[in-house]
Amino acid sequence: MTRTLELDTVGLHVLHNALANIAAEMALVMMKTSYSTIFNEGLDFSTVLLDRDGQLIAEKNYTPSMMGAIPHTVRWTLEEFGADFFEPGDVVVHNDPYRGNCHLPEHMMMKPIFLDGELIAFAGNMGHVAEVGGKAPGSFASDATEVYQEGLRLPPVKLIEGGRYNQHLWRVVLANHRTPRNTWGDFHAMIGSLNVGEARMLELVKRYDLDTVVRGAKAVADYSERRMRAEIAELPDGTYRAELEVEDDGVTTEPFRVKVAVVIRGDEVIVDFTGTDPQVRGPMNCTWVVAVSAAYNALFCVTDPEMLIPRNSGCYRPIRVIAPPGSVVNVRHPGPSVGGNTDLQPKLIDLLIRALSQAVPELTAAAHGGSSSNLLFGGVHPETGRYYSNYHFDGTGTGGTARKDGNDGEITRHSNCRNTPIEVFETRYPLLTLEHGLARDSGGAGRRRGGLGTYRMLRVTAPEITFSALFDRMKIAPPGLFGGHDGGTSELLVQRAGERGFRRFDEVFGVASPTKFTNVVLREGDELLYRTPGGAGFADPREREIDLVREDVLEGWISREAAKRDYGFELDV
Amino acid sequence: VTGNGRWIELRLPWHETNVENCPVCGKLIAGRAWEFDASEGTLRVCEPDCEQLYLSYYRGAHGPLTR
Repeated sequence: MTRTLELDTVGLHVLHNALANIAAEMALVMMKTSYSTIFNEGLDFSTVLLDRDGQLIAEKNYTPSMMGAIPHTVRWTLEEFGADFFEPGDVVVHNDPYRGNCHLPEHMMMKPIFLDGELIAFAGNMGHVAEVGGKAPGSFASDATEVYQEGLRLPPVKLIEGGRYNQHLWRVVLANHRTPRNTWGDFHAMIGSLNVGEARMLELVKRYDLDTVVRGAKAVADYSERRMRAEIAELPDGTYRAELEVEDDGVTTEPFRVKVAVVIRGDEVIVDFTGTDPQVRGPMNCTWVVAVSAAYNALFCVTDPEMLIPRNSGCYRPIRVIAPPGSVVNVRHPGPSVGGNTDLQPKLIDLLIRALSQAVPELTAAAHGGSSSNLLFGGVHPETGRYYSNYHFDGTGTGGTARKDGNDGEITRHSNCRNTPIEVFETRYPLLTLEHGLARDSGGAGRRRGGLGTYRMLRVTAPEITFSALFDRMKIAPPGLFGGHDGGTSELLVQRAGERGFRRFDEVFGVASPTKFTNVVLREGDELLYRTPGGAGFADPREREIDLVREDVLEGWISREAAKRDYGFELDV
Repeated sequence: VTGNGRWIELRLPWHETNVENCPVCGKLIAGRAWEFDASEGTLRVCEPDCEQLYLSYYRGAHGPLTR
């Protein structure tokens, strides 16, 4: 039975919560039914509802790096193919980085929702599929020079057509992914999530009628836009510039630079990356949507850190991004981009926050670790005889802010993902965790110090594994802010079985970069030691309250030597 | 804005794999483009908002575009 819903303040709140809860339920379905750890433990996905024009009306945003992609990608697909392309029961899949995806592993699926033969909305989700082929297990070819080395690229195509499997497409996909069983499970988790979104949306329009839901969703989006514009209008007008240097691209050892101008004018913002270096040869390039995601992320951190504004297309309208095609923030075909999403994007967020620190220092933060610290490995599991592959990331320290110290061991803020528990990790993969903890002295000193990075020691327990990495911040530390010190750098070392002493991978294997390399073979008994970067400090460490320094020393977060050197404090016990 | 802008449908064959990016903001131009006549000639961008961005910011900051 249809109920009446007045679209007043209360009614809009009810409707917004109903839509947001549909997106949240879609996310639960993905988490509970997926096969790979990156979905069910890492939560590297997001779920959304969009109106018939592809405008975002609700989201469950586990992964902020996708928020710049999803609002655009469905609309572009609609524009490219037209609404007639979609039929009831279809599911379209798409991972093309040049057409709206963050990088090749990120797959977007969208399902049109029809009521009485009329297209009324879309359910959508985007998730990082752990293995999509290409030259390296885990599909992070950190020395790739073209997209073709990164995996299987799908323009928007129908995975399900009118409710039936497009078997030809499935066969192509499964034949090109190294772990087709995982792909099968994760794709079905995504499809199941869309089916739930479709069912719940149809229930909602039957409960309140279609016109009410459509008008209400537009009203909520307009409300979000007004709220966002009001927040931006609070920022002082001006042009705020910042630059960053990234240590290498995985193929050469040359650094590259990104420049940004953040222009605040009234109630809108222009984020202008003009002047940024041309795209690099290795995979540290971003796609346009990644640059946009970084801009949204930084601006939300400053204007709405409590996430009080409903997330929908309205809150994105006041933000314009200029990312020159062919630059490292807008890669052109056939440039690779897998690491741009994970290891350049977090630095772009920090770069924008640094620029905004000139306008609103009290609302900003020093740099966080800024590297997803990706490890990739695969091979035949000695216990199952089956091929496995995994994409693993670890937490870094976040930067200190005006009000508090940075968080310890947090997955970078563009991804917001969760750690995989050691028990799950060891059950699935032939790597034993010997040690894992917070890295003392890795947080940059400051009145509010940076959070600590993590360290981990692993031992290979299979006869061999194929191992790749895409780390960063080994040479260039996360920069401090307002006199705060830089965060600790990362480290990635190997000790071969039977040898004593850990060494860098470029020394042992002759790879170009010590942190970005592909397909080295590790043997049983080899050990890995890695440390993720720490967060940078905020303001002069000599201004830190002495009780807090004492507590840090007693807890073991900073050493006595660092306390004396950075804070002028000697522990009296 | 100029007030003379119009949508242009891009009629690409289904087997075309190249994509076009907006010369102002860098965004993908998918399916249709927005054309307008400025003093430097007819320009093609991704959407009407980008015409506004070009006229109110981009041209002043980075100079005029040429086709």
